Amino acid sequence: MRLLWFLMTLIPLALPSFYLTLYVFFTIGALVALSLYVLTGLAGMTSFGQAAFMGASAYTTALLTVKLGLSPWLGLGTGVLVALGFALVLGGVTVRLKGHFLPLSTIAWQVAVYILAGNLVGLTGGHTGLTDLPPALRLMGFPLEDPRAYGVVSGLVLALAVLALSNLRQSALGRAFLTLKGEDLVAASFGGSPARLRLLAFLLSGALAGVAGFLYAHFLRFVNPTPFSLEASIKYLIMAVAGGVGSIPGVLLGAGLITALEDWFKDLLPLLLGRAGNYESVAYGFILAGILLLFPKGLWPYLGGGAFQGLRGAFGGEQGEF
Amino acid sequence: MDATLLYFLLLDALQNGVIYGLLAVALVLVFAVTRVILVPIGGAHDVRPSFLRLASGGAASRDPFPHPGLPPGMGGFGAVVLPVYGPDSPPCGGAFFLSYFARGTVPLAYLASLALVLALGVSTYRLFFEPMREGTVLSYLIMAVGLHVAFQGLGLVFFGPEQYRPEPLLKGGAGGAFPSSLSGLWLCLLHRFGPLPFLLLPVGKALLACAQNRLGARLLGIRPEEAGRVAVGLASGVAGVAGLLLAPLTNAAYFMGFMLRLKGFVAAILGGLASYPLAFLGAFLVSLFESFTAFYASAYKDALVFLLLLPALFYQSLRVRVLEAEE
Repeated sequence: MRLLWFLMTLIPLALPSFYLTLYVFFTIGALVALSLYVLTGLAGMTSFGQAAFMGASAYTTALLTVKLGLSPWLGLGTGVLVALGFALVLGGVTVRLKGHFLPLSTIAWQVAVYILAGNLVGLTGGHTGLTDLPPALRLMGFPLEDPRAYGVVSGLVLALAVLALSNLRQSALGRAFLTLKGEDLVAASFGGSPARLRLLAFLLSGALAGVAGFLYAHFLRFVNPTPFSLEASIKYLIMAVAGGVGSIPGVLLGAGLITALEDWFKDLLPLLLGRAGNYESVAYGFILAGILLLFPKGLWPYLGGGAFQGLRGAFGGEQGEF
Repeated sequence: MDATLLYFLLLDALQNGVIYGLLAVALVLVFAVTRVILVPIGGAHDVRPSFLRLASGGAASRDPFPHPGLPPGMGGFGAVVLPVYGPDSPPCGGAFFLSYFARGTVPLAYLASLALVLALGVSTYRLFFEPMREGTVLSYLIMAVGLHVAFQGLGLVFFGPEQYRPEPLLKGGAGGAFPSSLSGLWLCLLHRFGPLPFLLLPVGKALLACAQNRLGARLLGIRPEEAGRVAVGLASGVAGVAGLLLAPLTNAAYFMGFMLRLKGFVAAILGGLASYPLAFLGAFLVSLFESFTAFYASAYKDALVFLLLLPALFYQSLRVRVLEAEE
């Protein structure tokens, strides 16, 4: 039944073209939110710097393809490696410390990376960014210029990630990650090294965010620092928490919900409040606060009704503590 | 680099160091008292600077030239505070109107802004953090960040993108830096030695007890929630003072709290999130580093300050030997 996730690759075939862009943004957001599922839902840590990992990979592939003219697939590999390198440095210095050092350090790291991306003009093009990423990302001979084809591929990547993570959750490693949410002593008593497990989870989530960054860069064919800012990181965290970071369907629900809300807010809030401004961020903040207060485990576990019960069985959603 | 330049850089470092130090100390204070559930890292770490912004905005509101956008913004502020804060709105609203009527009278406006910050700080803690009793370290932190985002957006709505320059309480030479640094230094001393008599009071002892062991404190009849409120109140006050010290020097703006908080956090981390003197020392290290990198590579100064964290964290993670249970 878990193969039902692959239906997501078919969705773009049925969507009108306006919603295709939204769908690709949903898959990218969902990938980053899944990276937080590994980190928060399984291993009980969190990061406010996922957008920085995205950015690291997006800029790497942009630089390789634009400045050196290399293949985007090489960009994917190198981009994910760079994201892994970032995660290794940041994780390496924090995993042995108590739990709150990592999230707080990721905030600082995120801001530093954003400032560097905006100011190293010679390398990154500053706030203007890098334009003209190669149009023809080719997959087995098929060019992916058309958003519909791109949507199918990004849906496929998302489905594969979902499948991989739900397998991970059942594996020995996944269960070892889960012990981290209690006390370190639990993991240690069963022969796991808490620091090593944390580092592994952090690396895995960095790599997933890196893949999302690659998809982002080659979808828009343009990178600048804005989508890799702290606000973006917080948005991804809201996605994960809103739906319920303890289960994969919850994370996807959150990603879909926030992607739709974001689009909706941009049109609606200025109309409602009579003037333009960044009301989205106010709304995000209070939505997050409201969800944390009213649905501490996210929305997914509360969607109890009959139809959803069946769906939850079909998609193998397990409720996790958050 | 000549002597004058060095003097100015050092002066700048001292001035910023006081601000970061105050923020770091507030952070450590709340962290220590309710360490167990980490509410205050939330409260102190993310909500407070928003009040710092509000405070500076409040102080700015008695600008002699009434800003056209301000009164409706302030009205909107009231309109949001009343429904959101419910039963807590009288103190908040009172402080808010106080700050509105205090425009034009400098010392009164400073006091009113401080009152507003205190009222908002404690009520936010009560409203958003106390109901999450079952929450984890992570959920508090996420809540705090969410509130930060909301408050920063609200700050933009209420105070507008413009910056205000409030009248300083004391005027002085050396580019106006001296009195502020000096009063800041006074505050440092007060902070260093002020807690001593405070800790002899029952309230201070209750805070210490909660910092040591929450369960133990409860067994002795101390309510950790109340201790948390006191700690958050103190931290909001300290952050408000920091905001008021800073606002006349650099202009007050809705976004000013964010970077300050992050640097206060870097300072607190340099002190291991445990010690006031070390946090203060860390703050001066941060501001010294910042002021010299601002001179040599100004575009990268903030990034470099945050990268300063890496060696500090590395050092601390080398020191960790035993497995400690997360409290």
